[in-house]
Amino acid sequence: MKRYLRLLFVVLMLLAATSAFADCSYFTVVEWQVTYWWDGEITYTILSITEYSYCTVGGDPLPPDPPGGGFVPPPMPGVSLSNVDTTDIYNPVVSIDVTSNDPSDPVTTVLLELNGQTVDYGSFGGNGTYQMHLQSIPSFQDGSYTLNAKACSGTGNCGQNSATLTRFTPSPATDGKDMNVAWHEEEESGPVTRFANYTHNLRQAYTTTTFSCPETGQNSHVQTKESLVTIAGNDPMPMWTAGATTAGTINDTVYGIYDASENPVNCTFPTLCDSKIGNPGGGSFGYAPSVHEGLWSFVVDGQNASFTGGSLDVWFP
Amino acid sequence: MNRRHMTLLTAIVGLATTLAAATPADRERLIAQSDNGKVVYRMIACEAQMSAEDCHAAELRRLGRHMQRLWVDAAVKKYAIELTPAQETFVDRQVAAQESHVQKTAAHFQALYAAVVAIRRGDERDRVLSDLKQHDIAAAELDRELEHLPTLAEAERAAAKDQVADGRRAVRDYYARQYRLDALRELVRKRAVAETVSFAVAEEHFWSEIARDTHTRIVDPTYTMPDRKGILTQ
Repeated sequence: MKRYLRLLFVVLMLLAATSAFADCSYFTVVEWQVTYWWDGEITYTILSITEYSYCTVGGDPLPPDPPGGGFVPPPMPGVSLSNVDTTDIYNPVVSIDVTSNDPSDPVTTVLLELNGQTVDYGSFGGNGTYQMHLQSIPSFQDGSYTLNAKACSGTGNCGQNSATLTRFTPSPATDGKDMNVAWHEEEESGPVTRFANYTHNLRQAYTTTTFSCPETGQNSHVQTKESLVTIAGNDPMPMWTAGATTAGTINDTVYGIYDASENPVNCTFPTLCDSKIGNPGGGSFGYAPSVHEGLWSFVVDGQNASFTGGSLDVWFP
Repeated sequence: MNRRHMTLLTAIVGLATTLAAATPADRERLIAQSDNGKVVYRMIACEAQMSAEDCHAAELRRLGRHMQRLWVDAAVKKYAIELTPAQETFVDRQVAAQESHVQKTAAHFQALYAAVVAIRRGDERDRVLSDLKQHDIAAAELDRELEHLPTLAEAERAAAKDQVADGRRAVRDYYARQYRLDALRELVRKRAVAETVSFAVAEEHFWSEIARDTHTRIVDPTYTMPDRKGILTQ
């Protein structure tokens, strides 16, 4: 036998017709078989055709037929994922509007799914808005996540509505300035002024969180992450310290910028680069935050230097 | 670790001293000299908090920079290198552009040296430090300067200096030096072509010649002659 796969579909085709001149309805049920052959061929075989007719007694009119045929699906529960509240980024709240449309099969449960997994649910207590809890925004890695609001009846009839949460880390925001630096150096005659140019650059990493549905709070719009600061120049290179502050965030932070484990910025000789990294803990969140970085000290050959261009700022839209 | 390394390490540890610990004689100890200048210990002394090994490395780097500066000045003089009018104009513009920074720096150092003079005259350190707060000068910077200026005479000499003029000179030197190094680089490049040697070899010959001409020598055997390559590529 060449066929290795055979699927049998029995399709009950209800062909309904109502006579315009009599109080009768006629139905035809066609039973057929569909066979999928190994070589891709599909064949259809009619197994039986049965006709039925129903007539009213006493001349009562029949109710009008629904459009397209006689099968009437039950009304689905109405569901709308109407809003995400990210005022508290560690406990975001998803609002789901639910309407139970079928009095004979009412909604019993309201659920919130994240990528197909139920993350919160509750019993139905009447039409209205239900608030479900989502895991903290910082716990989401970069990527796109489907939030699915669902309301289901006791018979498993579910209405649903989806929205998307997207976490995205773009190229870091940058700021840079040329620095004019002066310091004193011992000469035979005593201290003399030396001058040099350096460049001061900030690469500020950040991650955005957006929703395809309306959002209130929006405190997770921008998460500021590590600050990479680079001083570039020629010999003598300075010893320096720096720090950063974030503003416009839930918890404004102040953090130091310390030596990177390895220099992540390569420079072409004779330009030398020295980079350091600072991190605001688990990140600093806000709608449109800013990061201010400033050099705390700048020492050339053991001498404190006077400098310009010692602070950098980035603002996130 | 072989015996040579052990000897070197012993020498570093044994001879490592800092400016803070140095006696007046140590401070003026001759490290290197040439016809157009000399290097004494206070000019290269490392910071007190450095380890012996780091201290020696820092002092060698600083000695190298002083020697190279003396050599560049000597070479510029020997080969009569001068800036073109266009280069002079550029340097003048840079000096003018830096005026506000020069003024700010001058005020900073004037306040610092005035504080050192006050302390050398017997004023209380805490009172002097509180006056320095308005200039953003911390205790560490004052202490470092007190190491550099251990006597009232030295402190008064530093305080009397015109810091604004010195700042303008420093800016001019910085920008003019780049043109001078360009000219010397071109000179060495031509030599390398004429002698069919690499630029690095020609540069080493060039600075060896300058070192000989200026009778450069290292006086303190703890230190070594700086590298005579790479000065023109910095």
